[in-house]
Amino acid sequence: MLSVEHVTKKYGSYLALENITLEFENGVYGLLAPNGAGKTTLLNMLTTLLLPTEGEILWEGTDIAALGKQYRNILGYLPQHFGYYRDNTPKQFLRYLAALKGMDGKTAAPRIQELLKLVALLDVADKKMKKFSGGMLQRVGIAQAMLNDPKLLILDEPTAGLDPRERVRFRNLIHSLSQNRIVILSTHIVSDIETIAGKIILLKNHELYCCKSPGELCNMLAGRVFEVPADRKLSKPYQLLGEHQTEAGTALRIVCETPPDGFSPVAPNLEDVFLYVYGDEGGK
Amino acid sequence: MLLCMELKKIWKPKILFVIVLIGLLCGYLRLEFPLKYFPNGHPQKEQYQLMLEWTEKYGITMEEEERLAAEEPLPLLKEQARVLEERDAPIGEDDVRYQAETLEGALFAYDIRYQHYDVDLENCTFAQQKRLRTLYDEKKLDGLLPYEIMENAQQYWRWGAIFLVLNVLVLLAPVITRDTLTDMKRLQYTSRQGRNILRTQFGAMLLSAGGIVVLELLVLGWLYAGLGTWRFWKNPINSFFYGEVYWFDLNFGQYLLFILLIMVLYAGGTAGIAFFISCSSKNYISLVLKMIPVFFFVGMLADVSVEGLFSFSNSLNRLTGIAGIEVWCGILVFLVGMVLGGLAYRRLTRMRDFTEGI
Amino acid sequence: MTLYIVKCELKKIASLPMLWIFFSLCLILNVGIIEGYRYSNVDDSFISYVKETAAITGTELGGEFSERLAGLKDSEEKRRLYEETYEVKNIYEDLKAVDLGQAYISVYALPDRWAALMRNKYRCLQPMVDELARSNAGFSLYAAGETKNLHDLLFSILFRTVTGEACVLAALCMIFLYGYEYQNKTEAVIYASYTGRNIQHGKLAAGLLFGCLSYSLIAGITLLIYLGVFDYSWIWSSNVSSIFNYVEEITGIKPFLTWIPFPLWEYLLAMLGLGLVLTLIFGLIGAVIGRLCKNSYLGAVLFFLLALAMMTAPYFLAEKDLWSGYFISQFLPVCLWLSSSVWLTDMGIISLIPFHETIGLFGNVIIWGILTAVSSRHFSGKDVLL
Repeated sequence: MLSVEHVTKKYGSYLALENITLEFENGVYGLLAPNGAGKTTLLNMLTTLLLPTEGEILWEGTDIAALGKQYRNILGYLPQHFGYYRDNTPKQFLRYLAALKGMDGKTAAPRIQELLKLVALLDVADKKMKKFSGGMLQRVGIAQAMLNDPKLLILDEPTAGLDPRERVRFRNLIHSLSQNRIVILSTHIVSDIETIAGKIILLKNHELYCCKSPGELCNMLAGRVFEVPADRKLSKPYQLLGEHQTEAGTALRIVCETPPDGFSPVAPNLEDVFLYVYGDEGGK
Repeated sequence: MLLCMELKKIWKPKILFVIVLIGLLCGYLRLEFPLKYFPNGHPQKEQYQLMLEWTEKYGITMEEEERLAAEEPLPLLKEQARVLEERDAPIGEDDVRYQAETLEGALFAYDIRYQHYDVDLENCTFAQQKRLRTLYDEKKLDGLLPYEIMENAQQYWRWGAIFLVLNVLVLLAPVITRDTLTDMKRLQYTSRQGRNILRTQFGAMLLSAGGIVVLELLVLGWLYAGLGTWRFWKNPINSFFYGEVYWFDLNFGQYLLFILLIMVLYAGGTAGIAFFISCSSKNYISLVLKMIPVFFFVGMLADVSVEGLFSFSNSLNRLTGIAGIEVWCGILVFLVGMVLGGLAYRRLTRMRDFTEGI
Repeated sequence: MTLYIVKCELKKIASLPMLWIFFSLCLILNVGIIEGYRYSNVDDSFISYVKETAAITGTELGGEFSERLAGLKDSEEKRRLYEETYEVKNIYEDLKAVDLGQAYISVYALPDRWAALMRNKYRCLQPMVDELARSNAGFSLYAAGETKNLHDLLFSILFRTVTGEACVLAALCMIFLYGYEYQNKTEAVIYASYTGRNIQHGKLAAGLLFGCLSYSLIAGITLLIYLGVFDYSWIWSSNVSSIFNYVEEITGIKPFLTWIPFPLWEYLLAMLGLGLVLTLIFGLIGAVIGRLCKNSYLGAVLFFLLALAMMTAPYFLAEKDLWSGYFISQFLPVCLWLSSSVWLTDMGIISLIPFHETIGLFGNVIIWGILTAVSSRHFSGKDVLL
C-alpha cells in the first residue's frame, strides 16, 4: 500500500537519509534507530512535511506529493514534539483539527467524544490544556492522530512522557488500532515495540539496515548471546551488550562467536539486536 | 559571566542590522536636513560667521567698547553694498550686501538688548516676567550666539532622542518574551540562579540601553561635530542675538550636556518599560502592540522635552509653567521605567505558580 | 476551506487581549485628536451660526444668499460670514488647469518628459474644472470659513490616522496568524492534516476579514464620535470643491479639485471605500512578510522597516533627480497612505495621471495579491523544518 522507493534526503550538503526502499502493508512497523539516525526525517517525508531530494514515496502506486490532500486524508500523525494551543480545551483543539482534517461538525462531535473516551480524557474534556501533564497531552496527541480514522498512522516517539502504566495502556491501544491500517511507530525504546510490532525497521549510517520481524531479528543472534559473571576473565573476543544484577552478583551479557567455556547461549531479545547492530557508534 | 551571556542574547546581529537600517532611513529622513543645511541660507550664514568672528575677537560676550570696535567695518561694507545696489548687481553667494545687513542688524540687536526683547511681556506669566527682569537687571543678555544654532541643535537632537527611544525598544523589548517562547524560563528558574536571573537580565538591559546611548551619541555626536558648532561651546545661550529666552544661565556646551542627560534619562526609562512589557507578553505580536503606544508616548515626551529645551516656548513649560520641567519629565519617565521594571521583577519572583507567568 | 477554520483563525486573533487594548488606545487617540483639534482650531460658535443661517439663506452662495444674510440680526458671526461670502467669484470660471501644472513644472524643475505628462494630466482636468464652473460647485457653502479646518480634521488628520491604525493592525495580525503555528509548535500536526499547508488560505481569509472588521470598527466608531461632536446633517450635500476648501502647497494655494464632482457624503463614502482597500493591501503585505518570517517579532520589525523604506523612497529619488523612480514610488502603499488627504483630486506633484490613488490602490491589490500567491505557492512545495 505504502512504498518508499530509493528515497534520499539531503539538507544542503548534509546527507540525512540515503537510498531508502521500503514496503508497508497493514500492521505495526517499529522504526528503531538511535537518535540522529534519520528516523524523524523519514517520518516527516512520509507525512509530506519534507520532500525527498531523490526517489519517491507512493501510496497505492501514486506519488504522495501528487496525491496531496487525498493522501493526507488517510494520514494520522503524532509528531515527536506535539504542539498544542495552551488556552484550548481538548474538545476545542480536537474540533479545530477535525475541521483541518476536512470533517464536518456533525461527524466530528461523536468521533471526538469516542476518542476522548478511548484515551481516558473524557472527564477533562472541557479543561484548558495548559494545566495538563505530559502524559495527558500525549493522549490528546494520539486522539488527534486518530480523528480521521486513518489508514496510515504515524507516531513519532509516542511514549515519550508516559509513565509505565500509561505505556502499557498505549501499547494495547496501538495493538487494537492496528487491525486495518498501517501503523508506523518510531522509537528508541525497544520495549515499546517488542511485543506489538510485526516488523522492525533499522536504520544505520543513514541507510536502511534491515526490515524484519522481531523473531527474524532475534534469530540473527541465535546461539551467540551469553550471560557470564562479571569477574570471569574471557579469553575469546566478544562484544559487550550490557550488564545487570543477578542473585549471583553482576553478570555481563555478551555476543560471542564461539561459546565461552562452560556457558550455554541464552535467548536473544530485541534489545540485544539493537545494541549489537549499533554497538557504540550511535546513529552515525 | 551570566551578565555577559545575557548581553550577548540582547546584542543579536539581526536586530543590530535592523537598528542600523532604521537609523539610516530615519537619519536620511530627519537628520540630514539639520546637518546639510546649516546655516540654512542668507543671512543665517553671515550671522553665523559674524558671531564666530566676534567670539574669536571678543570672547563669549560683547562689551560696550567692543561693540564700538565691531562697528568699524560697517561704513565700508555699507558703501560697498550701496555701489553694488546702484549697479543693480545680482546677489552672489558671499555678497557684501548680506554682510552689511547682518552687521547692522547684529549691532542694532545689541543696542536694544535691554530696551526691548523679542518676547510679548503681556502674555508672560509672573515667573517669566521675573526671569526677564533678572536677565535685564543682571545684564545677562551680552552673550554672542548665532541665531540658528539653538534651533538647529534642538531639531537635530530631538530626533536623536526619538530614535534613541525607538532603538532601545527594538533592541530590548523581545529579550524576556523570547525566553518565555523558547521555554528557557523553566531552565533559568530551576538553575542555581533561579529567578534572580531576572535581576541579571534587567541589569543587562539597562547596560545595553547605556550601550545604545553611547553608540548613538558617538555616531550622532561625530556627525554633529562636523558642523563646527562646538566653537560656541562656552557661549551663553541667553544671547542678545537670539529671540528665545531661557530659564537658566547656561552656556551652549552645558545646554548640549543637558540634552544628553535627558536622552540618558529617556533611554533608561524606556529600558525599564521594555523590561516590563517584555515580561508581560506571551507572544511577539502582543509585545509589538505594546511597543507601539509606548514608543508613541515616550517618544513624544522625549521630543517635546528636547524641542525648545529650557526656553519659554517649550511645550511642557507652557503647559505647566515649571522651569526645567523637561528634566523633571525625563526623571519621571526614568522613575516610571524603574518602578515598572521593579514591579515586573517582583511579580515574577514572588509568583508561586510558575505556569501562571508563561 | 471550511468557514469553521476561518472562524477558528479569527478566534486566534481575537484571543489576543492586547489587541483590544490597542484598539481602545486607537479610539482614545482619535477622540484626543478630535477634541484637541476642535479646541485649538475650530470655531464651534461660528459653525453653529452658519448652520442656523443656512436654514434661512440656503447653502448656495450668490446674490440671494447675501441678501437674506444681510437681513439677519447683526452679530460678530454674521459680519464674519458676510465678509467671507460677499460677492464671491466663481473661481473655476477663469481657472486654467494647465497653469496649475505649469507651476509644479517650474517649482520642481521637471524634465521635459515628465513636464509633458504633468501638462497632460492637467489638460485632462480642464473639463472637470469647466464642469465645476458650470455647476457653481465653488458656491457651495460647506462650513464657510471653517470649512478648511473641518475638512482637514476629517480627511487629512482623522482619515490618515484611522487608516494608519487599521493598516498596522491588519498587517500585524496577519503576521501573528502566519507565525502562530510556529510559535505553538503545531506546524507538524497541522501541515500533515488533510488541509495541510492550505491552512494558509484560511489564515489569509481570516486576516483580511479581520482587517476589514478592524477598519470598519475604528472608522465607524471614530466617525460616529466625530459626527457627535460636529453636526454634519446640514452639509452633507455641499460640494467638496467649495471655494472654502483649498489645498496649500509649495506652489501656492489651489482649489480642492476632484476628478468628478463630489458632494461631501459621496466623497466620504468613496474615501472610506478606498481606505478599506488600503487596509486590505496592508493585510496582504503582512501575509507576504508572515510567510517569509517565522519569527513574528522579526516579521513585525521588518514590516515597519519596509514601511519606513517606502516612506523614504520618494524623498531620496526626488533628491537624486530620479523622476521616473519618484513617480513610481508614489504608488507604494505607504506613499498612497501619506497622500490620502488629497485622494481623488489632482494630487499635484505626487501624480501624473487622473485617479492616481484608485489606480494605485487596485494595482497594489493585484501586485501584493500576486506576491502573496507566489509566497504561498513557494511554501506549498517547501520543506517544513521543525
